[in-house]
Amino acid sequence: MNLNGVQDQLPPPTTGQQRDHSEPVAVQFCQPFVPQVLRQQMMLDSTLWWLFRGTLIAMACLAAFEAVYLQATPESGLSLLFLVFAIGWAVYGLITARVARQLPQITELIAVDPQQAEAMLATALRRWPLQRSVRLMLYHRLAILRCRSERFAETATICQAVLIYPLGQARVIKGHLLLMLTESRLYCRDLWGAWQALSSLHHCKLNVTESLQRTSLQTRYEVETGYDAMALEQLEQKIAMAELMPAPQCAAMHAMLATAARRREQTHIADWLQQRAWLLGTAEQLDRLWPRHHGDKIVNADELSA
Amino acid sequence: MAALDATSSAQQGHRLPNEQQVAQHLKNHSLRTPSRLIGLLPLIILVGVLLVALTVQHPLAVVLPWFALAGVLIKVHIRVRRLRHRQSELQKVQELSLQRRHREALDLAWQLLAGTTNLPQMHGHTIALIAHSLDQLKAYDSAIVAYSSLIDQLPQQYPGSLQLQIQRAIAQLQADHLVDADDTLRRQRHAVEAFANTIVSAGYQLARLIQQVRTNHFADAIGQAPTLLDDLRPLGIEAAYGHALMALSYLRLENNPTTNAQLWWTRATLLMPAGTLVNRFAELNSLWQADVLRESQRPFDPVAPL
Repeated sequence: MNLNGVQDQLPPPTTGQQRDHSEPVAVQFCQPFVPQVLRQQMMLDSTLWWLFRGTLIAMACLAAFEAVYLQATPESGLSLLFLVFAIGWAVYGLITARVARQLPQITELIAVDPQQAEAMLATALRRWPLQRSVRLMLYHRLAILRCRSERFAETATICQAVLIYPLGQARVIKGHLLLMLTESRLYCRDLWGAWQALSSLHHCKLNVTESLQRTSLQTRYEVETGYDAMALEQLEQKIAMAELMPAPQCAAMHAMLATAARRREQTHIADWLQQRAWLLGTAEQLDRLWPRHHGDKIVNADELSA
Repeated sequence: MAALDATSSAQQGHRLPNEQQVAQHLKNHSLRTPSRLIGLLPLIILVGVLLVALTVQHPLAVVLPWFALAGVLIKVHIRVRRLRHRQSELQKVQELSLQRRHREALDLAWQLLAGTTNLPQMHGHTIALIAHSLDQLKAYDSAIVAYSSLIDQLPQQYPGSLQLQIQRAIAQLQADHLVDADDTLRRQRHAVEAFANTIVSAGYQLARLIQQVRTNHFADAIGQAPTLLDDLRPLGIEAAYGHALMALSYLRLENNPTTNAQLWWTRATLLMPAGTLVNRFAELNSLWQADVLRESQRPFDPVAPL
């Protein structure tokens, strides 16, 4: 099964779906995300990191030069300087390690106790100095939290701001950031933005779960923008992929494809997909994930309903 | 030597490891608590070297701390790389399992276990994947051994533990260990109530249904019918097993293909091909053979002419 992209080329939205450049980025929460703050934090972290690295190399070179050419002894003070430097490095490492250790806990809490997760994130984000990758991972978790609480405008802002920076050791989160960005823009009805994010996703190495999410988002984009024929291409493969998704997402994917099939007047397929969607997801789940399913009446529902 | 035998015999032929081999493999690669001393060793070495450098009057003492620091950094780097490699291998196993390539997932997880003995979370995850793969490959007795080993390591009321206990109960039912399965399901009855409408409660309902069918309590099984559709939804397409078992219960109780049996069989075959259902539960073969129900099967062919 080819999980790395059902289609490599995505069409942009039609002219009737122009991007609204005047749309403000709504940030209306107690701890609003401001990209400038992230920029300042990243600059400080980077400066400290390069200062540390530069000093380390310079001191090592000086020590080697003194030892080889000047036959210097420890009275030169370099060893004491090393001690000071080692303590500074240990403090820096300890703060970073402590925050990094909290990351899995924060991820778990986002699912079960978002308030506590937000409190932990707020504390962790105030720490300084932090390694760049750890800070970016914290903002990634903040984006997940906002996405879960359906604050899609803020999610998109965070994802976009984080993706500007080289992710370095945190590059594993790139795919997920792009997925959240696509989803948020789709919910905000920013179809141009969603198209751009989806295009970036096609150049990104994704794992199986992320590939499944991308397929779902791409199908949603295609159905929302009216590219029904494209949504129904390689249908068997898409259904096989949908069956690997959690039940609500699987149901939503079926409902989206059913909408596309019905609009293409492929009634047989639409009925089959709609019936499967009904078996896989509750009405509430479908309302939340694919509100348009209301337009698709289940044909032969009496065959399935007791 | 025994470990080598167990590993090689499991790896070589196409035979799956039996329960003794699984038990031996898990025993040989059991979890070892990481030593605090080994964790602190780099720091101890660094401090020791620094003290030597400050006390010894020799030009080499100037560069000695730098060599020690470089050594510690290289060691940390190697350790992080090794950990990342293990994590990527575990992710690969998860992806194989998600794609239902259970034989490959089992082989890889079997090899990976040896490298995770000092990583508690990864070790548990690897055993869970071994158990799941064995279960799906119908090596039920071996799967029970792996499930039991992991369940013993986890707190009883932990959601992950509950899910594993349910999976073990299903494997026990499949292996005809009816008393053990009954004992597990009885103990979980109240604990599962806290996880309504989740995969845990859905798994429990499926286990109950399998138990009722295996013990010929078809009337009890039918008693679940009004809520079964909602109860099993979190399982996704695997809810088809429950629907098929419900159809079988109606068929056995009324001794001829009835409307209800047809209804449930239609639901089951909408989600999963009849062959897959029969492959998992051999007793469904009689249902498949029933002429009236055969007619109600509607295999999907998206390219078929309308």
